[in-house]
Amino acid sequence: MKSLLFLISFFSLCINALAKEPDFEIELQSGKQYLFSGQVSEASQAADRILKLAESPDDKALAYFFKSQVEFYKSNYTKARELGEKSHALIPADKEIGGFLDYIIKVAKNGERFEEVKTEHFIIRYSHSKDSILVSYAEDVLERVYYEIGLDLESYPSEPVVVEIYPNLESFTLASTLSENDIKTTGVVGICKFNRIMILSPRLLPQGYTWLDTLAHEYTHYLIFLKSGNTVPVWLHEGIAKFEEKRWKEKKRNVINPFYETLLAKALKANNLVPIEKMHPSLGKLSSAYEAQLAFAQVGTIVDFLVKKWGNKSLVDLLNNIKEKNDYKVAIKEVTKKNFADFYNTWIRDLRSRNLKERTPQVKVKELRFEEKRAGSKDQSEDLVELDNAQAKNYTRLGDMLRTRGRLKAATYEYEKALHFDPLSPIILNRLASTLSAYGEYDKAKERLTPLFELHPEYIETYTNLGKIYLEKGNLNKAEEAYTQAISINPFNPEIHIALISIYKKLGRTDLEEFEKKVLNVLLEDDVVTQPYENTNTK
Amino acid sequence: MNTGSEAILDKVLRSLEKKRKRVCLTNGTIEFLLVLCASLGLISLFAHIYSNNLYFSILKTLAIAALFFGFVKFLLPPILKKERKTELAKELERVSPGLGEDTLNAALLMAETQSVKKLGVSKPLVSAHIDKVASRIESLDLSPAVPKEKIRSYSKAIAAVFVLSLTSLIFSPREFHSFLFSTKIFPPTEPYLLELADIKVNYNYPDYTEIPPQEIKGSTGDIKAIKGTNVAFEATPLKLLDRGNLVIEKGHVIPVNSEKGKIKAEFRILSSGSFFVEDKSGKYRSRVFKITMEEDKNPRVNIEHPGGDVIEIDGGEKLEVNYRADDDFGITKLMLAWNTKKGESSRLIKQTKEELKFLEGKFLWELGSVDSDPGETLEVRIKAYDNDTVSGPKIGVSNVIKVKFKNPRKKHEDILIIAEKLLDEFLDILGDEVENARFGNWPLNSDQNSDGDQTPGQSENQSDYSKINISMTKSIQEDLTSKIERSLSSLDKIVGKMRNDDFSDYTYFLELSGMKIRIQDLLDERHDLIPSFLITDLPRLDSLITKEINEFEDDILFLDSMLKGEKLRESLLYGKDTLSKYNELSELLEKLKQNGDETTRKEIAKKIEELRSLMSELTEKLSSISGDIYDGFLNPDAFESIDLQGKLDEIMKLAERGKIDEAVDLLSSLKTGLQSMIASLESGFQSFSSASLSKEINRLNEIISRIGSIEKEQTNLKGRTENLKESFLKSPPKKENLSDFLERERKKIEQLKNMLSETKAKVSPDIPESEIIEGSFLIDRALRKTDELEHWLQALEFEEALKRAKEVEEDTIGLKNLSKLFWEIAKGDREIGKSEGLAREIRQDLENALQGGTRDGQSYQIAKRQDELEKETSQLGNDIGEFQDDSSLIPQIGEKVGESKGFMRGAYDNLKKTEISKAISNQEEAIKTLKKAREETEGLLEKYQLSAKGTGLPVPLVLGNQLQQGTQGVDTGYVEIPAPEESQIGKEFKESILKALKEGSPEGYSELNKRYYDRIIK
Repeated sequence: MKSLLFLISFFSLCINALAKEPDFEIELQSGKQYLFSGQVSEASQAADRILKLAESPDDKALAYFFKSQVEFYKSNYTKARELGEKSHALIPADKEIGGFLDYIIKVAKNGERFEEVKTEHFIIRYSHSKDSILVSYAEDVLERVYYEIGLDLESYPSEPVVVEIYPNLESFTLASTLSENDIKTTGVVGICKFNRIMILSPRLLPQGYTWLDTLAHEYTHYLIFLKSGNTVPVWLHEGIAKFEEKRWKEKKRNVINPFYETLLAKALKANNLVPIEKMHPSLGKLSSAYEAQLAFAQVGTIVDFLVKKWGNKSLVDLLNNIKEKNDYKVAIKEVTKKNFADFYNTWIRDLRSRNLKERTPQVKVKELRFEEKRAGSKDQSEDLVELDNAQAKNYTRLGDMLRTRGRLKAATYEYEKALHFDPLSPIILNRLASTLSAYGEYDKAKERLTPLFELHPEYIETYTNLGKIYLEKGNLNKAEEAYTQAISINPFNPEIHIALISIYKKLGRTDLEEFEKKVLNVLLEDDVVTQPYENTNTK
Repeated sequence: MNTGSEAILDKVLRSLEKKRKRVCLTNGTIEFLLVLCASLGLISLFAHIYSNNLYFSILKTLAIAALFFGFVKFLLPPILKKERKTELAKELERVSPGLGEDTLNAALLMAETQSVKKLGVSKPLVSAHIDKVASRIESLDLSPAVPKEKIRSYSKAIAAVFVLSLTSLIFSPREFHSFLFSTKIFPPTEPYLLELADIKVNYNYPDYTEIPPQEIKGSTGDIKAIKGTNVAFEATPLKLLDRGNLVIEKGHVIPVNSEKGKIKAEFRILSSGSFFVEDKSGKYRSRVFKITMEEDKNPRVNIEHPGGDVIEIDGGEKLEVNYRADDDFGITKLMLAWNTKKGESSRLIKQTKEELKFLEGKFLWELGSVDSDPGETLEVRIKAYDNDTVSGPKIGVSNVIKVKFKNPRKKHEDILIIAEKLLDEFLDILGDEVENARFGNWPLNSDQNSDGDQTPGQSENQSDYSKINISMTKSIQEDLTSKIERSLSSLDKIVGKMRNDDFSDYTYFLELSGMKIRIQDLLDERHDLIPSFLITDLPRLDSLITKEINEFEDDILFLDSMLKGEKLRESLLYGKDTLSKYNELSELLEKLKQNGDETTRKEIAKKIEELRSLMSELTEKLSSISGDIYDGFLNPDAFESIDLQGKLDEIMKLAERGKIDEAVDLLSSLKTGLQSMIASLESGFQSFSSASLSKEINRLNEIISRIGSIEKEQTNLKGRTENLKESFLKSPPKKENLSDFLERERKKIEQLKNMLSETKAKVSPDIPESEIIEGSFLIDRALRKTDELEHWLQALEFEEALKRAKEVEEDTIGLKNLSKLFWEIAKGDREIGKSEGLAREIRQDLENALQGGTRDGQSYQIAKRQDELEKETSQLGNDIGEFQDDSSLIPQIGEKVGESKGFMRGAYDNLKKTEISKAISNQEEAIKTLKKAREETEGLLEKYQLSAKGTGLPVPLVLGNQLQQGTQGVDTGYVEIPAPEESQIGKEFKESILKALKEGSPEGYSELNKRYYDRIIK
């Protein structure tokens, strides 16, 4: 967000400085305003007019520069680069134009390698061969999101929305302008910027992440930009996106889960909520992953509170009002009849009245851990590092060693002991459930997994283990459901697709069976990147 | 023609010719001889005039000229002479006139007739003439035609000349004589020969040879002896020689002594060559004598054992080497020499003073001290040095034996393999314990319902033992016992191997040893329980299994952690090896840059292959490390950034293309990445080791702190006791101690009780109980409190006793007040007053005692604190005992603390009896044992800390220190060096203690003295 504002201001300054003709300058200002407010089509038309008006080399340079920027927003990287180069050729000494061109060239290099799939309302781009499997799942969810969230926010983009899936951290940091540290610390894996949605492939995280929710979340941002003309403050942006992100799969929009409940309960108890002011310019810039997650919980519940108390229409009205007044406090007063401080305090009182509990007392928000290129150990003890309690870790390790030697019951005994020290650990519970089901104790295994759906809904192993249990018990539909959930977190686990192939075969769903076979083939192929991604400095 | 005449004539003429030639030749010879003799005689005579080579040369030349003349003049003509017929005819004419002409004509005619060409002369006439001449000549005496032989006529003269000349020649100067008959004509440059006779040579051999001196009479003068031999040369010169030199080849000159016509000179043989004797002027010189220097032979030495091509051996082993050596004069020392990549090294095997000519023996070579690379082959030989003090010791070198070091890490790797096996065994046992043997999973009798839905570990039917199938349970337990026995054997093997393994960390050894003892204890319990197992033993078995499960869980975790740490350490070693190879590669690339030759290029290719292999090993090691080590302790970024294999290929390609600078740059960047990786491994290893041992380190720190605190307290207490002693010394006690005090107070209490009883007796009989209930109550209460007072005093609980004393005093005061109101009570006024006084007295005594105002009080206070300290020490001992159960090899720390506790108890008893000196002595001992315990714990902590840093002490080193008192390695233990004054005093003190022991010590001291004596002896 900050970068966006900076870029726009920067363009504005350049244009102001170099403008000569009054018409030219008016058109340029108008074009800039369109771009700032997310009206890219209008900005594009303005850019054409500006080009016609430009006569002097300096004007032409500015016109090309603006046009380049518009094309960049339209995700036409090659065209944006060509126009940028024309502009730079006209004023080679201009450092600002040169610097911007540098950036565009780098992004374009990556952007030019994208493969794209067009759906009715989206253009989905990817470059890593394995990321192609995401498209099939994403297009379905995105189309659902288009209607559901569109309905909530009463907004539907007229142009196809570009969604880009980045194959590695380097390319994502470049395109998003976020630093690697920001991404690792606060766990930002998606961003809506430059008139498009950008996400990091879930392939890069060992446990994956709820990437379909992220797509929905970022699409919500897109709609808010579109609807409000870029006037909505960051905290509200994030609040609405958080509020809407599960809309594609859940009728009822509910932000609070045990994780957020715990964070909020702790913050309310310690009276250390993240101040609204601190959330500017981006939640991704907060000091820790914990603080970022708390901020998400706060803003999500603020929107939830607004909708619950004043109805869904209030949300649409709020966005319209903000666009109109360009002041969220005034808009909130218009909608709620309360000044912002009262509204905020009412929300806190509402939270307190809910009697939130620390559902997972040992909650710990960890930084993102990316998948490393190395072989796992034979006893699969890589994730033990996530366990904080030494005793829990020791007994889990014992359980793992016994399990790899086929001593399943003994392993169960050790996992039980480990749970004594960390009763809600998804790692231990999943290990235990997996071991129990390995010797036929399916009900007990399922029982062990139950708390995790609520407490750790993003933990993929819970769904794969559940899928296995249902599959063993012959409940194919439930098994399919579990595996589909797993796909929404990390579809790159071949085991999921093998299971789904088996399920669809049994169900006689040949089309889906074939589809899953194709996906599996892609996953089992060697990694192919269209070309290696470079963070090159060369123009 | 008459042919007979012709023959006669021819014969006569021929005979005449021969006769004439012979006589001429004889005469020429005689004349030549005369010239020869005369010239020789003359020059011999003239030689006496000057003794000069030039002169001699002239004379010789003259003689030769004379001879030449004589030869040409007298001898050559008759030899060359060919008689003509005309001359012969002339001679015949002298015999008979006309005969000569006739003979000549006849000879001519004979030639004509034999000629082919006809002369036109009548043959008969010719024949007739020939016949005539023949008959005439035949009839005549032709001797006048033959010259006279001079030998006859000059015989006397010739004989005289010959005799004279010969005489002259014989008596000519010797030098002339020798010159004359030499082939030289020109004057010689060399001196004249000095004849030597009666040559005698004395050999005096070098001391080291131990050969006695030798004298050779009638020697040729040639010398032959060993180097360094002193030679005395003696001879009689045939020419008078006053002063001269003995000249050795290469100009070394030794003056010759001349005495009684004999010359003497001495010299030392240092090399082969020659010598001669000459006079001072150099005019006379003896013949050249030969010097033959005999060499001292090199010693011979042979390694007789071990044999074979290559002997493979562990680094820590000892190799027995048998040898045999001999020398012609003696061997001084034997050295063992070996070559490694780093050069030659050697060590002394034997050194002898006797310088034996023959040596045979064996020695044990400790290969641990040899600095070599793993797997390196050494070429070993023995060098024997002889006793040659002249040329320096000569060295004999033995046959070479090749010794190959087995990889020293192999033993360690073997240990790790067994440890991994042991881990599996433990897991199997744990699995069995939990799944089959644990209570709740025990087999039920077949007629019982075994459909339990129990999870492992549940014991719902614990009380229902009747359902359990005992025989099956016993069978399962027996199997388990066998498994535990096997695992214990594996563990024992590991501990045994670690003792000699330089790569095994002492702290791991300590932990495993403790583990072994604990498992052995459990196994003993099993052996006690299982063979005679009954249903009533089930609770005991359940308890045993619980203990075993806990034990094996801990043991598995420990082994797992140990193995991970070892893998990490191995990775680190591979990493360091790799880095070292990189450095070598870098040097090779620099070399290639300089010379660009093909050999270097090949070496680079070889080095890159070595690196590739090392990298592969390293990758394998790293991948075998479980994830939690990887993630928790290593920095993955350090491993991500370097594509080592790919870059090695690139370096090779660059080197092949001659782009050396680029290759060096690439290598340099690669090295940086590798260094970062090694740094990460190193820090990861240290962090992991530190985390693994943190529990033990914390516990040891806690024990040290607690011992230190007690030690400090005990020292303070000793100070206080000493002050008390000072006070006693300044003001001797009135033969009263704490016991006396207690006795005194006890008597007072007794009196008090009597007084109170008497009061009660006086007051109660006359008054109805209801009326004096208050007074009666007070008396009863005072009596009860007095009992309590007595009790607390006996228990040395002075505070409690004081409380009671105060209460009793208050009661007596109350009674006194009541006596003023009630006459009945006033009847006991006197007793009440006495009671009050006694109660006050007791209270004051106790207050004084507690405030330390009295020495009794101080003694009490110290005793009380001593008692408290003893209890703290006892608790510490228990805690150490628990720790020792985990790590049973903590050396005697618990025992020391226990001993200290004993001394504290003694001090407490002494203080109670006011035996202050004894108490101090006990306190001193307590402090010393505490200090020892603390120091030993600190030593152990240090070892753990080193292990935590990844530089733990090897087991053999620590055990060597412990068992051999520091004969090898570095003893890291604390050593207190006594001050000099302590040693001096110690001597006197030891004497006094010995005296005391002999004479007998006061009661209580004898044991103390004995212990102290033991300690100072140690």
